[in-house]
Amino acid sequence: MAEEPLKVALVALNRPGYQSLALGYLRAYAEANERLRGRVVFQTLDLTTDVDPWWVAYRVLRMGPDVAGFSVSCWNARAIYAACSIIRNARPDIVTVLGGPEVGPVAEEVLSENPAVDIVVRGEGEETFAELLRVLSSGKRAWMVEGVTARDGERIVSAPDRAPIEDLDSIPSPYLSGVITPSETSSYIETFRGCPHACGYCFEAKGVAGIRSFSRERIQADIDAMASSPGVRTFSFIDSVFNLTGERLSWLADVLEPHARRGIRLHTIEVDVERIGDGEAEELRRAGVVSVETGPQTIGAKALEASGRTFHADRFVAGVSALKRAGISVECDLIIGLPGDDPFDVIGGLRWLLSLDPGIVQSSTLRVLPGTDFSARSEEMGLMYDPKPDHSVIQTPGIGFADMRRLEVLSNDLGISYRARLDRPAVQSPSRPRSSGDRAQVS
Amino acid sequence: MLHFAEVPIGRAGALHCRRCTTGGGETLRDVSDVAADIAAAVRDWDDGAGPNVSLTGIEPFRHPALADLIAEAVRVGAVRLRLDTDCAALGAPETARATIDAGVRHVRFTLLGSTPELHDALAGVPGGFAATMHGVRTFVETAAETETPVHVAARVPVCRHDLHDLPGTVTAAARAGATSVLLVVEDTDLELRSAAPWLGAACDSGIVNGTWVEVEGVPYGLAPGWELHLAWLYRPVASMKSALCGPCPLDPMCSGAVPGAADSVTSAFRPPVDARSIADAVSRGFSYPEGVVSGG
Repeated sequence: MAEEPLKVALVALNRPGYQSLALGYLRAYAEANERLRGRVVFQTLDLTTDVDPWWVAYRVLRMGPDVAGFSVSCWNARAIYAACSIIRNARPDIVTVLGGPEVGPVAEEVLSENPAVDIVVRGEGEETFAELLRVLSSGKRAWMVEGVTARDGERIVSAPDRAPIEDLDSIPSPYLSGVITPSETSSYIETFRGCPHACGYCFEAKGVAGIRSFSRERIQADIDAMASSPGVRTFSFIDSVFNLTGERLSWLADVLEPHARRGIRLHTIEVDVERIGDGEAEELRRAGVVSVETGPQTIGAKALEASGRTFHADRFVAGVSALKRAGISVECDLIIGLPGDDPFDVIGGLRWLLSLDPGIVQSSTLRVLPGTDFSARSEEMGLMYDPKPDHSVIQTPGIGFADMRRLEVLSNDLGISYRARLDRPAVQSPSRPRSSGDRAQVS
Repeated sequence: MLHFAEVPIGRAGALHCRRCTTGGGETLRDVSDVAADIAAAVRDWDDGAGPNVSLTGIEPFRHPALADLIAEAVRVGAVRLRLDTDCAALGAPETARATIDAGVRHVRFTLLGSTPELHDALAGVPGGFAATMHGVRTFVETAAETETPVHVAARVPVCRHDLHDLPGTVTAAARAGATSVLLVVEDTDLELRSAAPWLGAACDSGIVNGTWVEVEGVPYGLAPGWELHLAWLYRPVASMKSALCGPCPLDPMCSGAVPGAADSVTSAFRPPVDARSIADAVSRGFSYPEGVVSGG
């Protein structure tokens, strides 16, 4: 009699309307793995953050899996830990596996504090998760898999780190492979991994230096598939910087322009605004971009230095102006609570952004995320924050608790007030998902 | 923080405390004069996000040409249009819808107390509190139905008669749907030093209810611990120090009474030199009356 395949439930708690690209990658990679063929079957549960952990557990348990894998970020971690605990009590034999930026950098801590979690996948997940499934389906020990932290009896053991995947094209496209069906509100493409910046608060690069890109053939195929999907009129890119180089931007505009001519629009594209002039803005317009997202996160000199960021006001203004001339709405982000800032720096930043009238002004409270420079240096910087997810900052040496809350309420009201206008942006777009933490509404 | 150019459409008709002043006869301004002022406000706008225009002076829904004035503001390019209104007329869903459709995205209502009894007595308008609350809710609901982004603010004239109810008044405004409240100290007989704790408590009541509170007419030195709520930090006002302050031992350090001082202060986004030490000094002996922070 043939052996029963390992049943794997992949679970994400997304912002309403979104599907998890991370789970799509994991599944597409594993399904293409010859050594897993016929030995593993998958079901994906794309749920939303407003679903009660009891109902998350209910859905997982009804699937009757052998393995439940969760994609964890700061905004859904508490709910996932709770769901794992319920699942463990109802079905102790289900192996619970977590991965994602919230747990990878603090894997041993997560296992130590959450008895209902069996395994944490650290770093880039595709290769590690596929190897883990192969090991689990063979009844072998999980903690021997590179990139995994797992239990060995009472001990918590971390296998060596796994090197990042060099050839990103070895990861099948979730869209082209049919693992994810593009939809109007939740479609986004990744063209490279990594970030050219190294901001102290951000885990976008996930601890991996340098930029690794998918091939242009792969990127073009993903774009063509997305733009040709029935019902999809807008989508986005998850890249940390869309205008990575001028040449790349022009190439992307060439690829996207035919779709733009058919009315396909791109929203909330993250750009380095200080490298945008009229030429670059025109390329973005040609690509069908209707809104972009950018910093400055702060205009305070001390906070910029502490964050490892640069900021040139004149270039920033020039970039915003060029984008506005091209008819592109600019979403400018500020972070409240950066080390080095005081309340007047934050107010100054808000006022300055208002003077630019970019389109959207959005602010969020700093989250001291696992794996970031700020997390490592929090004591030295005097950052008081919630050690549990979502790691919101409580107070800093420059901004006390009460003033922090005041600035949050002020910026929220400012966002509502600013948005209430007659010249609304051409497309009301959902924010793109982030790995560096959720944003408070201030748009 | 957003600035609005205020264009009066009439005079002596705004809601105010009847125990402080009885008010004069309400007059309407000529439509062509108002239109010219709106056009000038839009044309001369140099304050970043805008141009933003607020129609003030009288209850706007009593102006027979309100629809024409709104249309004119939209035509000449106002990006944000605000009505300073008691919101009573907006209680009719069709009026709320028509107002939004015409281009109004901001309303600011005046509140004089946290209860119908106090507000109606001070405003001299029986049923006014209930009508305002109903109108605000209808406006917000109508905007939500049409997915139109709107902003609701409240304005509270601060005087001897409503001072001790300020925390509750802010809470009432927040519960009605206001995401910001402006407290304006206008009463020339109000003793600011003793009023300051109530103003601070009102600010905190706003914060715990998620509503931003700004205060006009109070100098930096009298806002210990709640300096961030002072309006002059966010937009130019006539003076960072109210004329109501009068001669004060702190004048040599707290020189905000000089017209124009606010411009230099606000442009630097910083409080005046030594202001924090003034605030610290003045704060000695300050404490909130027990139980005055409201809501949560």
